[in-house]
Amino acid sequence: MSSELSFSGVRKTFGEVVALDAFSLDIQQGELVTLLGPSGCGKTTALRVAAGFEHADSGTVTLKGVDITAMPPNKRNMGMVFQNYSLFPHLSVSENVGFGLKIRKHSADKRQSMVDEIIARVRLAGLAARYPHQLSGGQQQRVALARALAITPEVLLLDEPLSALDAQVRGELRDEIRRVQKETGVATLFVTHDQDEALAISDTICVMRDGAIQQVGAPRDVYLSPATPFVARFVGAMNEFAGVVAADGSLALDNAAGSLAGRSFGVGGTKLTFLVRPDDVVVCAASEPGSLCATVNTVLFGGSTTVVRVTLPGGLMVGALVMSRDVTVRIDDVVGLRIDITRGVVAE
Amino acid sequence: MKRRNILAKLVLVAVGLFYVLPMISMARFAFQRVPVALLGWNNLFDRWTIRPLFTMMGNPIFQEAAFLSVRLAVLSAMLTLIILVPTVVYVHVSMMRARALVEVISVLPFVVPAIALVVGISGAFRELAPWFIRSDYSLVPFYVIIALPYTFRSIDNGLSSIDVKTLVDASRSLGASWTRTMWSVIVPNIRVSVVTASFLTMTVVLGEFTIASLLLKETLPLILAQSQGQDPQGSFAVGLVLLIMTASLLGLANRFSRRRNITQPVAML
Repeated sequence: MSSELSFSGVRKTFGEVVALDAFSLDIQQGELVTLLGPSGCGKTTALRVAAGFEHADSGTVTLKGVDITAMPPNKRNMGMVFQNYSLFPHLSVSENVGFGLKIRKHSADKRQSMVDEIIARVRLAGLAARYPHQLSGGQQQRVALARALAITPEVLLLDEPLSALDAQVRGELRDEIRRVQKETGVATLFVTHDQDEALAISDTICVMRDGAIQQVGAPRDVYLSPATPFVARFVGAMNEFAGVVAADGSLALDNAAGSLAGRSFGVGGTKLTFLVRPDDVVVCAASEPGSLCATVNTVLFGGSTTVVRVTLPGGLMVGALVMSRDVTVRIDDVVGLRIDITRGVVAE
Repeated sequence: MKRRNILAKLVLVAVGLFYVLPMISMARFAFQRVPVALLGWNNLFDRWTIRPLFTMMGNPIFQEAAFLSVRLAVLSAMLTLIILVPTVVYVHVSMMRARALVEVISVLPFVVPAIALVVGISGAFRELAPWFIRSDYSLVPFYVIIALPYTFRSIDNGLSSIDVKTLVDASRSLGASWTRTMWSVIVPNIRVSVVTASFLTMTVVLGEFTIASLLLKETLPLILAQSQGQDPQGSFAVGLVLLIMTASLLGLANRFSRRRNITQPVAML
């Protein structure tokens, strides 16, 4: 299946800074791909290269097989939603949404019916005559989404559209974006630094760091099978067990905190860190054979799940995610920790 | 605190008097047919007439000069906006680092004397395009330059109050060309600044004497200066009206720059 939007070996620099380095990514029809990474990783640059606001130093961007690398942004037929809403303050909701249709010279009647339909789709019926300053942040962002979709774009580009919203509105609008994207079937490139957002909304996540792709995969794969220590640390919480590989291949933890056995961590004498998710740490009885001895430090109730934080000998803090109904421990209890060493990532 | 308020008010009154008293004197000289030597408290309000104004305004030479000045004011305002708005938008969108330098350049007209400007430019054009210097409209580029310190600031302030870059990106992403973006998105959101810049340009043009004099153009300020010998009262009458007009223009510009249209907010975030 040919990609809707494709980056091939794109490189972009700003002076000495390499914003994108050999960036290659395909987005299929109907797919929502999220570019996830910390500030400065190049995700917004990639989006802007796709939109035509930045020109790649090398490499190509194609849209349905057509090279659009040098095409000006107003010819690409891509809808874009920005972080800070970007509604035209002098136009009403209806006029904002119809702006792109007016440029495409749709008749007034056709334009009005398309505008009405898309406004209803984003659940803003009744607000068509209002102006941006009369809307809440969430409403403004819905209008921005409607405006981007009204032109029936080939690709929808979303540049951290939820960052400026409060938590509750963010969640609602996130679901709304996903619903509308599924209904319209438009290929979508979504940029965010929020991993929860990325995991919830995406078909595919592309984790980036320093202009390069670290991992591309379904949210489940990126979370459960991180390809690199960076991905492991950035996507979801991680416990870090630092130590030295023993002669038998087990990992002897620093500060005599214990050892992790049951797999070979490499050559004896190697210093490394083993990264494990709180989901893969089980709190058990201190007497259980093979478990690490620890003292309960805090018990953080989070609704259906609870994070139990324990301290190992030597001061290492470890978190375990437990179903709240299964929590029986209290602060200062001495417990055992069972680590699922078949999961996790080794970082050297 | 009370003492400071009283002092502030006293300063305000003093400045107001400093500004208004000469205008009152001009009005008395222009519109009252009583010589200064004979003026007293008993005839302070006697023999006031606006005939000198009508006499002056009925003069064909005055009419031609006034019409020329108005044309020059309108053309200068238009040229200022055509050149300055896209330029400042471009600076805001693509060259923000150069904004400080552009700001310095915008105040150069304060530094360069008008006579140096005229001698330099007219000297060059006399060789290249003498027809241009002969035309009355050769004053327009000069007026655009000398109004630059005021007009640049007005446009720059307007653009600083909106997120120009994002608005431009949003417009372009929806299919608009640069021209369409400027006309349909940027200008409507800096309408206040555009009007203010226009008023400021017109004010400068209506009061400019030096350049017109050096280029031997008969604009309104020149004719007024020349008329002082032949019809001093008429000259002062028109001068006073002009002063009130330009003050009103500046007042309107100030009012526009403060007023926020409730349906067209200037700031987005």
